[in-house]
Amino acid sequence: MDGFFLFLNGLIWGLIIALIALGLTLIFGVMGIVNMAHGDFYMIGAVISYYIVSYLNNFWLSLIIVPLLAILLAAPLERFVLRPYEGFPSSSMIATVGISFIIQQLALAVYGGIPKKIVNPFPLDISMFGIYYPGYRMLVALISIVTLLFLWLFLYKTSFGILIRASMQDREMANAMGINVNRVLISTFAIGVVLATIGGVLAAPITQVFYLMGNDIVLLSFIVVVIGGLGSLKGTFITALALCAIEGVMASFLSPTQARVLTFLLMIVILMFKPSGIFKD
Amino acid sequence: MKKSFVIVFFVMFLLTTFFIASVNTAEGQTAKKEPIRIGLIAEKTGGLAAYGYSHEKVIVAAINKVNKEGGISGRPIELFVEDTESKPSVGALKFRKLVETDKVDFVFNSNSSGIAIACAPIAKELKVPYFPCSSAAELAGEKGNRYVFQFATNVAQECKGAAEFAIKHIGKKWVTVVVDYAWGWSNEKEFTKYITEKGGKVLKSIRVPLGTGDWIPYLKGNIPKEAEAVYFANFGSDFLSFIRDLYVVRPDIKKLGAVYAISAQDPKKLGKEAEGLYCLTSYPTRLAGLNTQYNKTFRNLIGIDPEGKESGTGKYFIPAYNWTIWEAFFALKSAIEKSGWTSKADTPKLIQILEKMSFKESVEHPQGDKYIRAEDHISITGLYVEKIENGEIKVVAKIPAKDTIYTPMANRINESF
Repeated sequence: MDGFFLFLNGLIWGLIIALIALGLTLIFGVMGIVNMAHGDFYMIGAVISYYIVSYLNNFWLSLIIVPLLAILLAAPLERFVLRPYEGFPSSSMIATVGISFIIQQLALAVYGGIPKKIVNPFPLDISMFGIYYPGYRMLVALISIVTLLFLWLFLYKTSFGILIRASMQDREMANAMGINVNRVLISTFAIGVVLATIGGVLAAPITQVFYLMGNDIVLLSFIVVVIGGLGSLKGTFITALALCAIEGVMASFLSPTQARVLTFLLMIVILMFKPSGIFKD
Repeated sequence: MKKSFVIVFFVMFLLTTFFIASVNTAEGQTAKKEPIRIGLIAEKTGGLAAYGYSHEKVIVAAINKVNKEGGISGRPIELFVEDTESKPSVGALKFRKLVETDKVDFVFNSNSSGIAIACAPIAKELKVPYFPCSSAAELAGEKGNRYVFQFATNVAQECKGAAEFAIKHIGKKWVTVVVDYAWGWSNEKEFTKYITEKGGKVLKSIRVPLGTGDWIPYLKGNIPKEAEAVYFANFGSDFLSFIRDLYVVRPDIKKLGAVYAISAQDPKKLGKEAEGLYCLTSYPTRLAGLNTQYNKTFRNLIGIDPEGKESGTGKYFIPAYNWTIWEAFFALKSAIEKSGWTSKADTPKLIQILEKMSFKESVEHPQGDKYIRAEDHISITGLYVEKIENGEIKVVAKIPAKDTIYTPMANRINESF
């Protein structure tokens, strides 16, 4: 039973990681940018949500306000800072590390260096197969699934989604076909940032809100993206769930720290045999 | 020709006047007494930032008080503060910077055991008396030295003092849950030792990395059914995550926290997860727990109200070990005055004086009577047990100093300077 509980817990973290990693892979796939600041957008989501809870006393408002603020932040960042680096992954890493430092130091200056906690906004336990599970975590799973469903509908069922996927497959050809690539670029970056900030908002009540909280998450997200196959949406989603669930199960008989070590070992083994990731065509 | 001569003469006159004036000022400055330089390594950022903030505030209040009253032996105190970022490697570097660049004579603080342990050998190497606020018992053992004085009650004292209360009032079968660094390990080791001595048993020991947001993977499946109580060593947001997730895993289990756990927490906001929780402390969180005139004055001087909130901001302050930095500073003041310390050459004499000192309850020593044990440089004093009842923190037991005394693990008296 403990194993199942931890498997479930892993799966929920997997959904949060999927939100973040999908943004990362979208940004890489469409823009050719390795976004080292992605974890910091996750942090921004959590920090803004902390302020919303403190001042407006309503956690759920964060799920509306934070994505809007994320768009306002992402659009100028893409247009004025990142555009010259698009298509140059190595130099984009340097640029985004710079952005990451700026965001972290701004958060340190404004929010402070003390980790803070958001009170559980949904303090209800849910019984499932005879075990109690914190209701908020189940809600996180639900919200993540709905968000991911919307993302899927957007990318696969709308014409703009098709433009994004076309640009992911071949940017030059997409441009030659008359697709307004600039519009695609700015929207993709905004979608990626919005996903990361939603991840931050959802994770805030089950973790600690801290200006360096993005560092761990961005590492795990990169592992997911690399194992899943750089730029593969399906691969990223499946890997995020699988990796976190496996880590959860391993945590039932190992310490969580040892489980994380095994995850890294797993990554090394997979990359030895499949250097471009499992789902890369 | 005449005109240029007048200009040259005028310029020379100005230069000479300026030179004489500057020589006079320099002489005036040397005539003033050289300040005593004191360094503070504080956790201003990182996981322990709230503690660094409170400790800096306390030492500033202590220095302001002394400077207003004429300084120490007529010399003013100058404070140099460095941020350790809550990291031992940074703390050790900053310790060196304070001594080597800022030329401080004494160093205070770091309530991070990892940082204090990293700095202790540097204090000896640079021959600077060091007063950490850490409570790691290792500082009183092999990790300390003759230059290190530990004013905070250490974990060995705390666990020895608490063991009897824990067995009598809480339970016999325990699980320890500690943060995975020096202070946590120290708590795990000492609690297990003293609870076993008193006839109890620790069924399982769990370590969790500092700053973990999700404690469920660490707790779920790891707390045996027969366990009656958890002894935990964590604080700040770790504590909040811990009680939240422990409640999910074992809502019925009793809890005893190491010193610090409920510091700066608003008990009303902790909810059912924390109701009935016991916590050790060397200094009561509320004024009501130690309602003396000295303690009132101390709290006024450092700017906290009877509830433990900071004046001005209304935020809960962290009083747990603030008294240690305050009292260590005034102990140093007395030692400087008694030993006639004027420069680093007098430091060995000052240390010998400190080793023999005892203190009566006063504004300078508001926590109560105590003495420094010469062998291992710890301060011997009493403890309190607090409990959260109906959303209020109350002192439910006082542990006298004699119950906390354990056999010293070191003997510094013959250690060379």
